[in-house]
Amino acid sequence: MDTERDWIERARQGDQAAFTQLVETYQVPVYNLAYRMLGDPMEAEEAAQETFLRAYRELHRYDPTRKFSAWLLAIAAHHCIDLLRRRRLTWLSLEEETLQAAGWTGPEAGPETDPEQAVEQAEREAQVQALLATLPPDYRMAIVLRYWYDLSYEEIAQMTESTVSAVKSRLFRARRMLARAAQQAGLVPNAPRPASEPA
Amino acid sequence: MNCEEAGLLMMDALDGTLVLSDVNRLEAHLDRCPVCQAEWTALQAVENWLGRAPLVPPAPGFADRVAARLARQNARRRLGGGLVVLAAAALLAFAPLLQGWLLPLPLSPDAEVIRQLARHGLVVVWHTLRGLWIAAHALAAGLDLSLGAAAHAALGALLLFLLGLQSGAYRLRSADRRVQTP
Repeated sequence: MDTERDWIERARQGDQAAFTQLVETYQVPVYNLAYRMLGDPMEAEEAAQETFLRAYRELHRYDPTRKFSAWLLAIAAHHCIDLLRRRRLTWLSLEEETLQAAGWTGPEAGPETDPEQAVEQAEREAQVQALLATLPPDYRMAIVLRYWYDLSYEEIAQMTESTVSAVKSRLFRARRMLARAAQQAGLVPNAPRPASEPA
Repeated sequence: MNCEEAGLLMMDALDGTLVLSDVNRLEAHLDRCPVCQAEWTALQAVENWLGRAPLVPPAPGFADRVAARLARQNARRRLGGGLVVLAAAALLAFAPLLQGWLLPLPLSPDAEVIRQLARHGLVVVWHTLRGLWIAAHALAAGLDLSLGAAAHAALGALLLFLLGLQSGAYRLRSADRRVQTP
């Protein structure tokens, strides 16, 4: 995209207005990634802003042969994983509480949305975020990049500086963990117990 | 087919890469394995929720907030640069005192010649340039002006030049004092 290349070049030379154009263009994917990873709108806002500030500082390192969006999302992904790892140091497991979606205040539905639909959508969002919260950071990242950004295994591997087989393995385990978390939360029927197992 | 292989085929099915022959094998396994059947149901439900979850936008005004933060960050960086230059200028202004306290006073063999030069205005030139230097940077920092790389390089070169002048002037004064001391 010529316009985008022009914005990048001007931003590299210190043109903040050109950089703001890039922020306008990519704010939704960057914020969404942060929100899906961190699960908290305030933290996501802070992380998304920090992603753009880092991108501005590191623009001279951007390789124009790569997709700008991929480069930007990689910055966001690494930053969010760092935040989650730091958070884990003092984090007690909140899986049970989050699965009940207590007090979740996620994105609000637009004004044009039907109230009933809005409630349904909010519940679905709460379920999704609660399920994501059960995953370790690396697995969560693989799921987010796969489902929200429709990236191939190769693209995810490149973005997370990993291998295709490692990404496949993470996705495999992450999907299974999500399925089990959904079963344990009663969102889907549980697996029947084997006849020999005591009730 | 065992459950482990069925699990791998379920992943292929979710990725849309399962070939027809494996579809039939997987279905046959699911028909007789309630555990895998339950897992497949859960995987499909999760797939459905994730697939329907939209991209969440930030609160309105996000780009403006980033622009404001970027401007603050740049201003802080400029101010930091200005303060460093001011500190260097202050150091330079008080350098003769520091030099007198910290260093022995070497006497140049050409002290008499240099002393003659000093009498012709070297010390005056030095003090004038030093005053200009301090004033320019105090003004730049006060107005929060950005100094480009070229300007910094030029000022750095001027600083070195002034340090050389200062050193020469100081040695002159030292030499002068020694000559006058009986």
